[in-house]
Amino acid sequence: MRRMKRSGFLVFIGFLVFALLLAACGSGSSSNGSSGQAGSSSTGTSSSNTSSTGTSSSGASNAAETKPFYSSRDVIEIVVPFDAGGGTDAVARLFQKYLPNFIDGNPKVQVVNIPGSGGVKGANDYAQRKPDGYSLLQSSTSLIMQYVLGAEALKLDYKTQLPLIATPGPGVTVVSNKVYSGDPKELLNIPKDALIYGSQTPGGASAKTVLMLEFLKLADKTKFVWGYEGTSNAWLAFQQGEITVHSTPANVYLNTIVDEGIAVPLAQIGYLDENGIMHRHPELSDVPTIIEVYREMYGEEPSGPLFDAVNAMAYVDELSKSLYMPKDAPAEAIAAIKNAMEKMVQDKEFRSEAYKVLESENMIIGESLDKRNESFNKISEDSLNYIRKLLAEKYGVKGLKY
Amino acid sequence: MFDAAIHALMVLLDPVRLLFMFLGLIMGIIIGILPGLGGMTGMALLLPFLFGMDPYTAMALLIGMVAITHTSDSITSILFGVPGTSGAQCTVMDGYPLAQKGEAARALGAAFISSMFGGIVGAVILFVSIPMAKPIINTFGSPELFMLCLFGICMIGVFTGKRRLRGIMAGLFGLLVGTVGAAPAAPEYRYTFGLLYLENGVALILVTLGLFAIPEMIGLLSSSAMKSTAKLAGSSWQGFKDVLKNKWLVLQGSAIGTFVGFLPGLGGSIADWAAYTLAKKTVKNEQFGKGDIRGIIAPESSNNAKEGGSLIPTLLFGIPGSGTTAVLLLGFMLLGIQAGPKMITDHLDITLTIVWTLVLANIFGTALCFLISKPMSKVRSINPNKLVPFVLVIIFIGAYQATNDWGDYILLMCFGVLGWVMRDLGWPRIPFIIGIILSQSAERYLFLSLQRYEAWELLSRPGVIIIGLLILLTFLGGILSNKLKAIFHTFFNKKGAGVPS
Repeated sequence: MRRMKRSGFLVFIGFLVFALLLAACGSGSSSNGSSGQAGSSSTGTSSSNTSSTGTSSSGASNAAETKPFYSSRDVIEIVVPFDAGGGTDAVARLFQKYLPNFIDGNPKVQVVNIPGSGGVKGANDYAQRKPDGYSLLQSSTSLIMQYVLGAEALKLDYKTQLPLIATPGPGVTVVSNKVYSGDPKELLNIPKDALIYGSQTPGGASAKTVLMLEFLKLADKTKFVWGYEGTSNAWLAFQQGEITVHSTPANVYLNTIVDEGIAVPLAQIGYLDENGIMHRHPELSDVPTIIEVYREMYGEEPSGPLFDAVNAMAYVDELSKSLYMPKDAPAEAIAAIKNAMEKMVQDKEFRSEAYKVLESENMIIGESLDKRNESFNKISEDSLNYIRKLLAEKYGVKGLKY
Repeated sequence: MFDAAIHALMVLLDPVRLLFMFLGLIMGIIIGILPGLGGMTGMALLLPFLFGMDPYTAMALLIGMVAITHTSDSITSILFGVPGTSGAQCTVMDGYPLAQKGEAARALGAAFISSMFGGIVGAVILFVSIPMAKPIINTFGSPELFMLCLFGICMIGVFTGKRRLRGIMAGLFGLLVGTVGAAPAAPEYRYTFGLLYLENGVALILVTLGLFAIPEMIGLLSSSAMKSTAKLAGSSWQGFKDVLKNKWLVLQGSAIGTFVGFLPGLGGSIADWAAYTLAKKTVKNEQFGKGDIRGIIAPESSNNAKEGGSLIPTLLFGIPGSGTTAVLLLGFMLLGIQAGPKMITDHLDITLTIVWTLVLANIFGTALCFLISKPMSKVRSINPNKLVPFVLVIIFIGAYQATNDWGDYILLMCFGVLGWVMRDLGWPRIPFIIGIILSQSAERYLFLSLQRYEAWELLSRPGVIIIGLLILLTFLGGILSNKLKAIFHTFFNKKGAGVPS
């Protein structure tokens, strides 16, 4: 009996060791604020979660001249303010895999998921970390929209942040073919409540679609249904006929929605050239821009605060899935990572893996990205306040400051 | 399609892929055993290894891991009364009392075998339903989903026992606690008291750990008989026979599990409770809650069948029914596959590989579970004085996985105290859990329906009417049958003679 007891106890201890090890992996060293400074990260984490790439040689040649900012024992964390799974997380994991090969000194890169409150929790965690070059933020459409809408809970100021790489994912708004055949003029006489837009909440990424409908003067004829769990649930409701207007990322549109043949594209928010003129995204060359639709409908050039708002959304779209670093981070760190980005986007293997995830070749870095960020930061306060007021007063979004 | 199925089996039987499936299995078993870690964590841990893998191997690894977590999680549930994943809460109800009686091996055997059958049934239904899933899913709009939630809420009555009022109050309180955090259908937060932590709502795992596991530990320590309970009577063979004896119950549980998993938006946690409730209503001479082996068989077959079911909307619509399937979708993305209708045309081979992996992983995984169940069940012979501290450590580690925030500990303590009080004062705790589980979806679908439809439109939908009638039937059924019994009783009593007791 004694013997058995002891062996049972030993099994139990073994089990406990496993438990601790796995728990360490599971929590992915997240949210203990101090863990930004790298090497101290628990062994369980680094061994199982990072793809160590110590053998890569890109940084070795420089090592003789100057010591690189990062060393191979360092861990750079990418904060993903959402759960594992989903588009934003996918992009961050792509960087986790490929970035270490290209940063001088070959530090490890580690994705840390801090989900909660539509990205606000993770972003706030990131915002209060020291700008030491060891924490990056993977932003997303819904997070940057919270900033644009002035969500009070968000403590992150994008003006203090530097985008390192942007992977714009344009969106398409589609309408059921039962109520719309593709000629914008029809929309002028569309019966009330034929347009039913369903999505998660007017306070996140869906605010873009609300603004599009407002801009086309269709919002008052539209029935809004809020509360779907996610974009895919709303798409299911669209297929069921529960809703007739739906917004979706371009890659889902091209891959699934076109084939179903039940949805007609209404409009996209295109990209703005240097003169501020909107153009169609190359991958969505068949979908008219919102400005084109307006012209077709009303036969005049758009203007006014809603026009500014829609243009502002174009800048937001460009930066929707960007990787950020604080502007105050050590200059060497910024240089090292920016340099790595240049090399990474040239890499064939990275490009093909990225294409699988993003369904697009469009990745923006360097000066061109800085310019876009500048335009984003220049969106006028008036225009933003107009948007915020509209959403707060007409759509009941709480917690906005304007 | 059968040619394709056989081809997919051949693809999977490649030694390298089998090896990866076994890696997945081992990982899945450990993750299942550890409370707080579920399939989602496991998937997230495996993701980095997917880059550059071919899709069949990747599926063998991922699905192998998922398939077994709901089998191995019963080990912790039965031996310690601590649910190994949130899908195993229900197994605690009868598994733990059985273990206390010294029949841990029997309970484990029954749990593993029914879980295996459930998993295989789920896989078979996944295979069969591929061509007809779409029309079925399309008939369940928001109003129908709300009615299903309502059905679930009415089921609370089954667990109230003699203390009706207390049961109903506990259920209502559960619904209330479920509203903490982001409102599902309005852009605002409720009962957060300005705390960012509460904006996410209350994690279910904290509630179950607090409500059931903590009071159990307190009970173990404070009981005057500080002896190790288990004599380890009963064998897993007996559990196997129990399952065979209750094969219809297994089928019933699996069917419920698959159905619940199949409907996107209901949330998997309901599956095992639904099966448990129905079993309690349908079996004879039930001793549920006191160590009835059927109270293990029903939920275990259900929670594993759910995995097959929930893959249907995931694969065909790209709708993640749970955290696990959300990460699985990301895995697809990394492999360059877009979930959707193409999964049965262009990517049929991958879908079929998934079906086969589910089947094989369940069979091999169950065998592995049997191997470790013997040494594991010896843990029960350890003196509670030594055991409880370790289990408490595991509980606290598990709780911290909920959101990795200090708030997890505080909530765990709060619910622990609540659970202890409820246990000692004889308040039913199951209605509370069901209330929390259903709260969010009930509210979400109610508000979606009301925003979208007029009242008469809602009430005239055939789906709504059918489920509504079902609710009425179960509701009145209980009352009516009692009334009828009473009438018969008085009638025969008046006659005086030959009353059958």
